[in-house]
Amino acid sequence: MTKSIDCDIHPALASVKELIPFLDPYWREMEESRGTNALYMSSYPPAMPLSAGLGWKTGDPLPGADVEAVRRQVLDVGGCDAAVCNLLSGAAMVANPYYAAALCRAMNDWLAETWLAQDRRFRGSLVVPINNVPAAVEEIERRAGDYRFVQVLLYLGGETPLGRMQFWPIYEAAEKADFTIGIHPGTAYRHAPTPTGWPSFRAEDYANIPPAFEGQLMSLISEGVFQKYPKLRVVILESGVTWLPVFMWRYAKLWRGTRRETPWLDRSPDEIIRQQVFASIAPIDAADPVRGIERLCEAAGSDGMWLYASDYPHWQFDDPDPFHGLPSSLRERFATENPRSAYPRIARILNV
Amino acid sequence: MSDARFPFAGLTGPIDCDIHPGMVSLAELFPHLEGRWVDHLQAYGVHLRQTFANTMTYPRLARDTARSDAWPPGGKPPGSDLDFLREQHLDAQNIAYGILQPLRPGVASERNLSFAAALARAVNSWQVEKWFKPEPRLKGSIVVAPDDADAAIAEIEHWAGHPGFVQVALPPKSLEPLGRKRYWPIFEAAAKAGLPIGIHVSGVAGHAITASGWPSFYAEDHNSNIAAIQATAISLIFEGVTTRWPDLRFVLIEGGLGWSTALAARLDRTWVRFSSELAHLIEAPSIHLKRSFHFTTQPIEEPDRKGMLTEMLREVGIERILFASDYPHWDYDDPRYAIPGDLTSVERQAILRNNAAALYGLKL
Repeated sequence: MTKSIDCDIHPALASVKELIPFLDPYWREMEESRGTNALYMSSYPPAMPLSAGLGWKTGDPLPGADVEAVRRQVLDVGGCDAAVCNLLSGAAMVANPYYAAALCRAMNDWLAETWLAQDRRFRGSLVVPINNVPAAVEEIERRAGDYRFVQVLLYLGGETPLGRMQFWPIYEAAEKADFTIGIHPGTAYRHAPTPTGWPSFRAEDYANIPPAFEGQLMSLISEGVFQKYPKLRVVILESGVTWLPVFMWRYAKLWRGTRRETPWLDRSPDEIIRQQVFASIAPIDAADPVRGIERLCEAAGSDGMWLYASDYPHWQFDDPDPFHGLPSSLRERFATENPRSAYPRIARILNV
Repeated sequence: MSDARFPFAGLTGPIDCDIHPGMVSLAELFPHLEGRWVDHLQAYGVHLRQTFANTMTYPRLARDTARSDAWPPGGKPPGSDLDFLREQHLDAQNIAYGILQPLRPGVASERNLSFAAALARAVNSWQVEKWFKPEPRLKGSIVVAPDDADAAIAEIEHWAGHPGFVQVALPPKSLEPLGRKRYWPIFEAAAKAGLPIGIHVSGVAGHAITASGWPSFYAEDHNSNIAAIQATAISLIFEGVTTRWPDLRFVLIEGGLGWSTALAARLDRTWVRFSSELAHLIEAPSIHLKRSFHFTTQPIEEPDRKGMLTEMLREVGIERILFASDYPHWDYDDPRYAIPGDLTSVERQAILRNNAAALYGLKL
């Protein structure tokens, strides 16, 4: 398939040593003396089958850490002309806002040199210190001219819902530079992952991800972010996706009854979602993935929202291509047309 | 009543699985409380994990959360007057049975557990005296404070066998997800009493209402109830409650139902992918979801496209679905209009009354 774009792959830091050269001496010493240990998120412990497939053991190369292997498996074998690198790092979640800013800057520099410079097909998402908004804005502005970066990556579980006004300067900077905002699972666990407290199992935290996405999407919409930043595009990544049309129905109905509290909303939330929100379709929560996609399009009233992604190297399905059987016109839409709408910066360089 | 606007007149009408009874004031509880707790209630009120003494963190957009015509003559609070409830709802819609869900005071979230136990007894006695005795169409829920399991069990055992109570009430916003071990003695007591668990959106648990913190608007609070209901169902399945008590039924009330198909697929995929962590779960979670849970119809997700609502209901499973009006709340569903017209009449009757009659043991 020509010109296809993989909207979600996960390169990984093999160890914090790789990051050290990208830190200034003060932060280098902090890293070396405090033993932060590569800051793997609780959401994705490296040995968990979801994170890395079965059989990964400490000492083996960490899946996603080897540029050559990823290039081979995702770009060459997978046949992609571009793949968006989404780092799942706890850098953005570090409590010290200055430390977080330094680590995020270093992670982005590491990504640029270690990955983006190695193959013109790699694209990157910026990680930003969400609790240090001025530094986050500075980082977005710093990389605005580097079109290898196409997205600002935010994580699903922070301290404050993403639509709230303290975060608006991030959206302003992103809109100005045509960066897409991506929201990916990963929680700082500053709050319980459910409104009824802390589940026992990692599987349970994972199962509760769709309602967390509802909360974030509702926050962005109800706070008026899409009115204030009408060119902003938001991508929902790795969410399971079949929850989304039902949420659109529910929110549209709820808005009709509650809209006097949010009078700036100039149209129904489901309209806003169809126009400015996209979602990756890997993984998909459907017993039959192909039928699931068809129903998604029907239920949401759109086939323009859905984005192909491999989610490499996460192990979400046993079948490497759960979508065989999908009409090629839809595959084309999801892997080529829709990603170009979702990521306006992708087409700025190369022949994509 | 022979008014042509009311199609159930003269027929056996719906069983309404969610009606909210009100009080003119909390003084209605005084006859059901010991003196010391009357004083306590007056001095300290109900003590919740919330910002304001006398109002919710996310105030409703309608006064008393009610539809604007639900104030009885004389200006009493909505749902507080039996005669008006009969006139406006029970008689008008020829309701066969109405299941009460008292929401105030918030017994399940009261931080003082000794007071909570007293309040639970008072609210349950109040249901009997004010509602069940004069009005045989009304049934109710045994309210308990789940964070004191012993007191909750005592309360269930006190009322077990009483013909007025058809379920035990637990909140989906609680200190811990309801599947956690601390709550298991309550499920044992309910199972022993042969009572389902009615989980109605409620609870002021003290946790941020989204996984990423506290939002700004009432609509967001409203939607967080759906997150809580889902988290509760997931917990009950993953922790093994629905395995340990396979005959115990959980009614998810006012939590919608359209989300359950996507959730069933996600839970099954999760169970496969995390199989070593969930080794204790022998059957696929979707089987548990279909077997142990019922859903009430209000509020219902409404697709734009014609026919999709019916498809959604059939996918969830018609036999799982129970009609609810949520009288007297602003987003009340009228039984004349709430159920889609293109269901078969057998399906309509199932949702409107037969499923609830079977679940709650009610004679039609």
